[in-house]
Amino acid sequence: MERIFQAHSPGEAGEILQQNWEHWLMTTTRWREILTYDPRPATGCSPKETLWTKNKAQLYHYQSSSERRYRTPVLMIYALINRPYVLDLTPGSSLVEYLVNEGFDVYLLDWGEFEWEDRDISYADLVYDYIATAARKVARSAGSKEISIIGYCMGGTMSTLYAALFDRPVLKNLVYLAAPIDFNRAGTYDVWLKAPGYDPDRIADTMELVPKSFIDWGTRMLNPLANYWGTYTRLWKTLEEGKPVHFWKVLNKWSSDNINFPGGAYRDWIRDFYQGNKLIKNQVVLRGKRVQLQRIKANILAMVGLRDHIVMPHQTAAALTYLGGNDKTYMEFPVGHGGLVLGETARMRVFPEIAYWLGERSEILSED
Amino acid sequence: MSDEIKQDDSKVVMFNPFNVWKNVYFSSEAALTAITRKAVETTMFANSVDVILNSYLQYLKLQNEVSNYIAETLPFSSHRDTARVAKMLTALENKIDRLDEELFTDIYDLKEDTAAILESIAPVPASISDEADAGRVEQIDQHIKNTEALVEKITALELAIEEIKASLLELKAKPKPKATTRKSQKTATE
Repeated sequence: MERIFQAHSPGEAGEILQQNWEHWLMTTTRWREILTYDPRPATGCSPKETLWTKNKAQLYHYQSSSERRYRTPVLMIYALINRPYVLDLTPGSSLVEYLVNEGFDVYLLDWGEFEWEDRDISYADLVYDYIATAARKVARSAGSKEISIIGYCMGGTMSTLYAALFDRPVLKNLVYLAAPIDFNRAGTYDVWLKAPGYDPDRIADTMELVPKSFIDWGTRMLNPLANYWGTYTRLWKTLEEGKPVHFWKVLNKWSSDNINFPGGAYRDWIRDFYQGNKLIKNQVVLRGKRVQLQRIKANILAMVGLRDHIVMPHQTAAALTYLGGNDKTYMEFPVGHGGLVLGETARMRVFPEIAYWLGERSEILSED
Repeated sequence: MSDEIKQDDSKVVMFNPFNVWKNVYFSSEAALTAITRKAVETTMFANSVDVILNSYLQYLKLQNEVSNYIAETLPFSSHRDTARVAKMLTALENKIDRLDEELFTDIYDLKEDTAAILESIAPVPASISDEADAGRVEQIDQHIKNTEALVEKITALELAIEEIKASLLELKAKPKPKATTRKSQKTATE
């Protein structure tokens, strides 16, 4: 709407102002209703069955009504922050749905919600007991000796640990979505987590199970005004302009749906990765075995958001330098951290690129 | 507001206070967002947050120690006890997973080995369907039948020989009636 408007008479001008006022009142009422009463939108709607469970974790196998075209299954590994349904957000805006429709056999490892008894879980446990087992289950279920992995954010880092330590099933393709490999120059986190007063051991020892509120605070404080206030004013603006708010509701549900972080894994994550940057130095040791990045011979696709302030593009691009293998692809998109799986760019550009890249490197399922 | 209204060719041109306010507000918010984002990126901010965090951790540690002490003295199970049971269940799941993996690996290896053995002991010639080979197979089959018939005959002959031998032995074993009479006669005379 314009800052200046025209009317045929002062009376009509008054009417227009009156209409504006009423529109604002209605907008504000609806805004308040959405924030207080509206039910949370449905997410993670793609049909699936649970293939395997362990502790609170579940391995989903997505069902398809379309014909499966590729034998090589795709396993998605998500981070330990927020929930993995961002990869299967809503129909029409879901990476899972897109890949399933393209003929891939898709699986997703959902970590579940960590509770008090999980406070000692470390990265070694997550890699050996969860990811490695899930990978074997996926290969067995798909009847394939090879698998592809898509790792989102921290899930990509964990996939790297797995890829360097396990040979079977063969990891054919590894897709990184905003996944940190090099933890040097990590933006705001570099300042916060390397500050002299920040001691992950003290945090892990005291909290034991790092509460979701602490993790949520750490993520939101990267851009405090936008996350604590701007989110809600943006909703008001969307309503006032008569645009659909479904996507806002879905995004808000996901961004405020955090999980507790096991203290053991938190200690590993901050001390070994952010503070020590041990991954690219081949100094990470899990259950006595050294993680050597050059051992990873899988095909690599590294996708980054140019406006990402959580994982800087160069942090993911480091995969091309440090990992073994010859087939490595790097792609940049003009989005933030979530923009690789959420929104228009994800739907129109990122998902098709992933499907094409994987399709070129996956075993085609023969008709017999 | 009325002083903002002006008459021009029977039309009233007026600024919209709502939209002006909206534009000003969202521009200011964007500027403030950028400022706060810059502010949190500084070491000063990080250090001041750490001071608060460490104070909180000290308090939390003390609180945990006190509550743990109380929980240990009470005759009820604490959340640590419940967690211990849950951990045992998870350990059990680990064991089941490991057994499942081992079983699957064994079955898989067995299948692979069986397939390999079958392949090595029963090679099927690719040219078995050729006419010449089929003829040879028939010849071999006929030979086998003939041999089987011979074996049957030999077996029958062997049986017959055995029967003859047996009857001969029987005959040999029978006492001669004349000699016996004489002997008995002799005995009577004596």
